[in-house]
Amino acid sequence: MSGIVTLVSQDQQKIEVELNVIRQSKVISGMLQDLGEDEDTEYPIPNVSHAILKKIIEWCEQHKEDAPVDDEDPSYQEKKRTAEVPRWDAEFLKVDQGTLFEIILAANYLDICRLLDFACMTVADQIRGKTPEEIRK
Amino acid sequence: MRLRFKEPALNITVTVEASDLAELHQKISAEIGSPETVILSLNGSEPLPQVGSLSELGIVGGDRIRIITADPGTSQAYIRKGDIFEQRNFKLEENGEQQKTFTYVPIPGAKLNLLVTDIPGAEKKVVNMIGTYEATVFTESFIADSDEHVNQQSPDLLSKIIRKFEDLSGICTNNLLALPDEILHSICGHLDAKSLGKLRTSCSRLHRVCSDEGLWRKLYFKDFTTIGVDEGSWRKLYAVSFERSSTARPRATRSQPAIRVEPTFPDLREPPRHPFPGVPGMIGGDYDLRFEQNLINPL
Repeated sequence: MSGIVTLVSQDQQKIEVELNVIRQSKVISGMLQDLGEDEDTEYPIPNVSHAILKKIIEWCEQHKEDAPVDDEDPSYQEKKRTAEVPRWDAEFLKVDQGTLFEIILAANYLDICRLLDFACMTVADQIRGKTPEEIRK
Repeated sequence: MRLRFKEPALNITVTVEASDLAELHQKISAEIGSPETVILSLNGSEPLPQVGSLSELGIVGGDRIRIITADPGTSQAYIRKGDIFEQRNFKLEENGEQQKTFTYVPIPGAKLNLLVTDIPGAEKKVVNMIGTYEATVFTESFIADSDEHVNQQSPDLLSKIIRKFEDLSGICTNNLLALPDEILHSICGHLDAKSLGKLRTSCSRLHRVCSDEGLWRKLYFKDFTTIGVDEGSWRKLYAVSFERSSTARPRATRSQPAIRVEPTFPDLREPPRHPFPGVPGMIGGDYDLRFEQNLINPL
């Protein structure tokens, strides 16, 4: 067991990633359980492009040491309402809006709740203080 | 070495740091979000080789590098979104001396005419951008003092044109509306009442998402310490309470007919996290149902 799995993105490109890194995605984690953690198996991620999947893995690398969170837990719900986006994540999410939205969709699909929360907060920050006319842009 | 580069059609300047040509190409491609490696030229001359050292070609820091797109028929135009420039693809259809015609690639049938006319004797230019989508024609224009000025203004003007294309065609290429409702809802959960109110008036779909009772109930309990009379919706209740509080600042929402709710249901499961002591927190479930009953028949 090498601890490495191969993911195949929407555009059929392969990415190798460490198991303990990608476990933060509940969907991939579940897939590994269902299909068995076999290093020869390729795990398809049909809804996410190569570029975005790379970004997602970069985020997971950074956060692999973090304690897992339970997004159903009310105390987590409460915390995330008042929390701010950590600096590293804020830098990470400084991308054009198209990319940010793709990251949101991918995090949603892969069920990486903290990345999704940070990205949503980033969008909320961009909306805050804007007029309807500016939002329409 | 730090280098600046410019896009020739609708110029923007971006600074990147690179030690050799390969890195420069790669960084600039990444910077503008191009899926393919861009072709570059130095001050508009021959295309640069993709690999090699910068100094051999006489490239020094501060030089202006231009992007020649891989497909000569396509122009990458940039629109401004806040502080960020986004790349959009236009296809050049006709290249006249004064007038250029483009089609906007993401929306079939969207056409843009770019018309730049000199004003004789005034050293000024009139820049007209004429958008056409089906039977609708619209124009955005401005008077520029210099080429530099044209380059500065173009991304903003182009944003307006593209926005109009999206309105007319109903195709959203790259904005909030590309996200599903559940995500919009969770984004809205991070907003304050003022921003939520503004977002609500920006379009019909956001109006629906931002009218969600749960969002306004949360905001109500965040911002007010009292329960007002039943206004039929939490949003209206918020509005009434806000009105009341803004006439008697600070946070004086205790006047009649608002009824101060005593902490009759102490939250046994968690310590109060609310900034205002004595206010029950929102925890959902049965607890909130009791609260609703309370609202109709206070205490």
